[in-house]
Amino acid sequence: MPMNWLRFCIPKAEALAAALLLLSGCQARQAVDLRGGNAQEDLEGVLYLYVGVHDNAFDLSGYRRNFNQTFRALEQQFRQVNPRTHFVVQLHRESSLLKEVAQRNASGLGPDLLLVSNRTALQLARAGLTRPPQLTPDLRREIDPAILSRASLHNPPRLAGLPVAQKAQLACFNSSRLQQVPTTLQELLAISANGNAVGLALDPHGMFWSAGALGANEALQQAIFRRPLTRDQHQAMVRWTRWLQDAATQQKVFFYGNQDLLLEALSSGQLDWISCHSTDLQQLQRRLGSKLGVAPLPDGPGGQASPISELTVLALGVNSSAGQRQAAEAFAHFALNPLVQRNITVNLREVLPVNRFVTVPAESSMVLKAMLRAQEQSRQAGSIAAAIHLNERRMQQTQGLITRLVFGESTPEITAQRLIRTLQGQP
Amino acid sequence: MNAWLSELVGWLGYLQRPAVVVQVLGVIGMTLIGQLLQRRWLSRCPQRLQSSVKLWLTPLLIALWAGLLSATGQLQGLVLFLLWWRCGWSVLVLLHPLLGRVLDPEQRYDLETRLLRPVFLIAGAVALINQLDTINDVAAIPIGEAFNIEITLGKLFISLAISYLVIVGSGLPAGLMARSLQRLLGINDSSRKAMELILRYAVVSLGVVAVALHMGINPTAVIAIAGGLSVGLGFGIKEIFSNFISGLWLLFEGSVRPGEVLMIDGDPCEVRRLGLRATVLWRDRDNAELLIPNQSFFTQDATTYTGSDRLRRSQVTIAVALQHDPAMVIQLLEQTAVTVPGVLATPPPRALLISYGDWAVNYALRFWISNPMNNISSCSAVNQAIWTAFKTHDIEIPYPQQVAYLARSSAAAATDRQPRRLGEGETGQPG
Repeated sequence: MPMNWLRFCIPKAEALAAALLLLSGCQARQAVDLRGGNAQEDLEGVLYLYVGVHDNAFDLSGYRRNFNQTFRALEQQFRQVNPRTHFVVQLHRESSLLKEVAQRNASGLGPDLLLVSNRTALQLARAGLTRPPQLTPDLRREIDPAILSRASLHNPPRLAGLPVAQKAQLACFNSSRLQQVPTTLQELLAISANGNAVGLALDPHGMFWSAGALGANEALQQAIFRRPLTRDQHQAMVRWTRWLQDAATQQKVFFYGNQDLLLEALSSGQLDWISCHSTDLQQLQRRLGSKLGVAPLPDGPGGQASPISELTVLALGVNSSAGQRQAAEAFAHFALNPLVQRNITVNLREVLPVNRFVTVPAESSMVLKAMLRAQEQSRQAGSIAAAIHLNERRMQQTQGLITRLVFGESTPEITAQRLIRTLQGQP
Repeated sequence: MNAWLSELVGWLGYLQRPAVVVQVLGVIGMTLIGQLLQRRWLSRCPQRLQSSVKLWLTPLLIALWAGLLSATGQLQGLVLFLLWWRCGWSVLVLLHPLLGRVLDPEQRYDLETRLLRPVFLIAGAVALINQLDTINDVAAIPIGEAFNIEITLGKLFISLAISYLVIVGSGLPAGLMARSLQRLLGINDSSRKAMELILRYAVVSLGVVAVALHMGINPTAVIAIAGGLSVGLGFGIKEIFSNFISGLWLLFEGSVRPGEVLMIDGDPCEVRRLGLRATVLWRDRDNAELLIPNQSFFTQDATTYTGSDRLRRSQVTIAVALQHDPAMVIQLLEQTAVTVPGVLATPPPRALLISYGDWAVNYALRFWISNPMNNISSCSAVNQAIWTAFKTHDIEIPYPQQVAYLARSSAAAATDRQPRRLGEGETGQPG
C-alpha cells in the first residue's frame, strides 16, 4: 500500500515542483523585466556573497560572528537604497575557494560577489571564474592608482575586482602590563628582558614585518621575484635570521604557529605584546576591553618595519542573472562611496579606505593613527604582498625553515641561504 | 528560527537564474518521462530486461539531458550532480540481491531500511545543501539554547546522527564481541544473547554521554538535572522506568533471556527479545508474538523449562484392556518410546501402571525431550508409535463399557440378562 501510494504521488510531486519552478522562474524574470534600465531603486533579488577566510583563521565561528556584525551594517545601509535586495553570505577558506567557485560555476550556482584577498581575486580572474567589474571614470579617479594596479591583471589589462578596504598589520599589547610601547626592535627585546611576554608569529605573513626593520626587505623582494641577491642583501638576510634566533633565545619571547594562537595567548594574559592584524581588533577588544593597546610595529636598525598590508577586493561572479549582476555591481560601487568608506573606517576601526578622497580622522583615534602609520610602513612591502600567498608551497617551506631556526636546529647563515633558495623556487 | 528560515528562503534565489531553472526543470521533466515510459512500455519489455529498465531508464534520460545541455554550451553541473545521486540510488537497489547472499532476510531488511537507505538519503541531502550553501555556514545557524549552551543546526544534526548510528549500528559489533566472549568463556547461547544486549546498552549509554559532551553540556549540570528529574520520573513515567529497570534486572539475573522457554497461560513460549520496555515471546501454537511488560515477570509467577537445562519431561496416558499382562505392557511402552525420534534415551522413558478403571487399566508413559517447544509434536509421535506397537502385539485399546439392567419381573430379568455396550473408546491425553 505505501509503495503504491508513493508510485502515485511521486509523479504528481514532480509535476507540482515543475509548475512551482516555472512560476518562480517567471516571477524572477518578471522582476528583471520590470526593473529595466538603470533605476537603482528598483534593484531586487538575492545576492550570493562568498567571503574568503584566511587559512590561518582556525576559529571559523568567531570569524563568522565578527564578519556578520561588520557586514550586516553595510548591508543595512545598502538596503536603505535598495530594500528589495537580500544577501546570502557564505564563508569559504581561501585555499579551497578556487575549486569551490569552479565547481559551483559549472552548476550555475556560483556567487554573485566575492569578498576576498587581492591575491585570490587575481587567481580567480586569471582562471576566468570572475568577470571584470565596470569602473566609471569618476570611481577610477577616486582610487589610488597603485591600489588599482595591485588589483589588476596585466595581460590583457583588466581589473580582477574592486578594492574596497585595506587591512593593516599592527602591534597589539596589554596596556595594563606594558608601561611603555616598544618602538624599536631593541626596545621589544628589552621589555621581554624586563619580564613582559612577547609573542611572534612563525608564518611568513606574520613575521616578514621584522625583515624591513633589519634591512632585509629588499633582499626578500629580490628573492621572491627570483632575482639574484647582492652580497649586501645576502648579509641583510643573515642579520634578519640572526635576530630571529637571538629573539628565540630570550626567555620571554615565544613563537606561535599561527595568528589565532597569538590572539588567544594575548587575550588569556599569557602574552603582553604580539603582532596582529587590524581585523583582529574587534575580537581582542571583546576579550581585553580597555586594556587593549594598539601601536605601529617597531622599526629597527635597518629601517622601518615592513608589515604586509592586505587588500580586500570585491570580485563579481559569472553566473548572475541580469538582475543579480546589476545589483552586485551597484553594491560594489556602493562600497566605494566616500561616505560608506568613511563610515566603515570610523565605525569599525579595523580597515582603511581605498577611496583617496576619504580623510581618515587619525587624531580622533589611536587605532586609526596606528593604522595610518602601518599603511605608510607597508608601502615598502607592497610588492611582496602582491607576490606571495600563504598557500604557496614556498611559503610553507619558509615557515618550516624559520621554525627550525628558532628551535636552534639550523644556523642563521644556513637558514638565510636556504630561505633565499626556497623563495627563488617555484610557487 | 529566523536564521535558518532565511537561509532556506535564500536558496530559492538561485531560481532567478535561467541556467539553474533549465537544469532543474530538465531533470524533473526527464523523471516524469521516465515514469510515463515505464507505465506504458515496461510490460512489453522482455521479462529479464524489466528490472534493468526500471533501474536505469530515468538515469539514462537525465544523462541525455546533461549531454544535450553540454552540446549546446549550457551549464550542466547540477544535472550531473542529480544524475550521480540517481545512479547511486540504482546501485543501492542492485545491492539488494547481493546482500541476500550473505545475510538472512531479516538482517538484510534491517541493514537496508535502517542504515544504507537513510545514510544514502541524508548524505545526498547534505551534498545538495553543500552545492547550494556551505555546510559550515548551515551548521552554524543557531536554533535555540539549552543548559546555557547555544544549540546550532550542525550540533543538533550530528547529535541525532550519532545517536541514530549508535542505536542502529551497535548491534553488529556487540554481537561479534558477545560471540568472542562466548568462545572464550564457554557460556551458553542464552547468556551470549544477554551479554550482547548488555554490551549494546553500554555502547548506547556511552554514545548518549558522548553526544551530550559534544553538545557541550556540562556533566555537573546534567547530574543535577537528572537528580531533579528522578522525582518526576518516579511519578510521571514510572511504568516505563520500572519496565526498563526490570529488563536490566532480568538480564543480569538470567531468568528471562532470549532463547528461554516460559509457560505463559499454559503454552510454552520462547523469549525472542528483551526490550527496554517489554519482552517479546513467540508462541508456537499459533505463531503469535506476545509483548509482555518486563515488570510482569517481577510480579507474577512464571514456569520455565530452561532454568538449569533445556530438557522437558513429557507424559502420555493410555488405557489398555484388562486381560493384558501389565509387565508386558510396561515393557512394550518403554521400548516403543525409545524408538520415537526426539525422545531421549537418557534419562530413559518410564511406563507406570496408574490405576484400574471400570473397563481398562490406565498406564502413563513418561519420557524426556531436548526441546521444550516440541512437546505436542513429540506426544503425538509417541501416541502413534504406541498404536502401531499395540496393533502388532494384539493389545486392545478398549472402548468404555457399561452394563445396564432393566428392572422387570425376576424371571424375565433372568432370561433377558444380557450385557450392552455404550459410549466410545479413549486414548491417552498429552500432559
